[in-house]
Amino acid sequence: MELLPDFGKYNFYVWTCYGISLAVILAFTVYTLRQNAKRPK
Amino acid sequence: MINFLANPLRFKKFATVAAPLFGLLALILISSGLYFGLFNSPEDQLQGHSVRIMYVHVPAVWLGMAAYAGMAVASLLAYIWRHPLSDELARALALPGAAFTALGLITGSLWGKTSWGTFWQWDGRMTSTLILLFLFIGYMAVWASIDDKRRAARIAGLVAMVGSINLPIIKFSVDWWNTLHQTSSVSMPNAPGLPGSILLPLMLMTFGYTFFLGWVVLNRMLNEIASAKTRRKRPAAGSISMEKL
Repeated sequence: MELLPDFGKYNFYVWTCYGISLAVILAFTVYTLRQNAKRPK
Repeated sequence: MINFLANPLRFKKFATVAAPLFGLLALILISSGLYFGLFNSPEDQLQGHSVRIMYVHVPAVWLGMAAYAGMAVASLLAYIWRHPLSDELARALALPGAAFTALGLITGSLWGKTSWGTFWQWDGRMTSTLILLFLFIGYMAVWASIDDKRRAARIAGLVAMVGSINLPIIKFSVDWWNTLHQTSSVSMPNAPGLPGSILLPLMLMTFGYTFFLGWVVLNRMLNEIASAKTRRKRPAAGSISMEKL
């Protein structure tokens, strides 16, 4: 199993879509965890 | 169930247990979905490897629509029972819903370039989804621009409810008008029209995104409840309606 598979002529589009999607999920995760840390007890 | 969770204390107990569980399920399902989507699923006969974009595009749009439907229902409940937790639920759904819709539009645009040769076309499905994003932004703008939180909740709720008319338009746009966009990939009445190897990553990502949305929303609500409690101890101008509880 390749670490980053090559999707031929669609390589750029597939990886861009997955990159943006993961970036959004990661951004929400970090933001939510930071807000949780600030939550008044 | 709705009555049970309408009590902020009971909701807090439920959310404190459910949120980490949702987070864990989201992590497992999204990781599995990524594995199958990128490494262990076949390429499509017609679309080639670009079919893999479907595994992030379709769940994003579905979740954007589901978030808006949730916002509309929560706003309706707030109008009927005047329960501030419903308003908070609607408010908590707005930002992640907007993000998923924007994600759906961006990934759809990139997929469109590979399939149709264009990033954008003003057809029914794409235009109505763009309108959904504007509705989310409008909803959040109302909350941000009105200081009186009760009034903001009433007006924003109206935006959510009236805007929900756009949801069936998005769903049926591909049947009503001739569009570049394909018809539903997964149609329930005649069973999924996709082979299992393609359906598996799609479902894993869809459920993963769903639990992720649940995790985000529950935490946003817990944070808002905690902040409202703090503000109640230190009353300030613009205190939110939940403080009346």
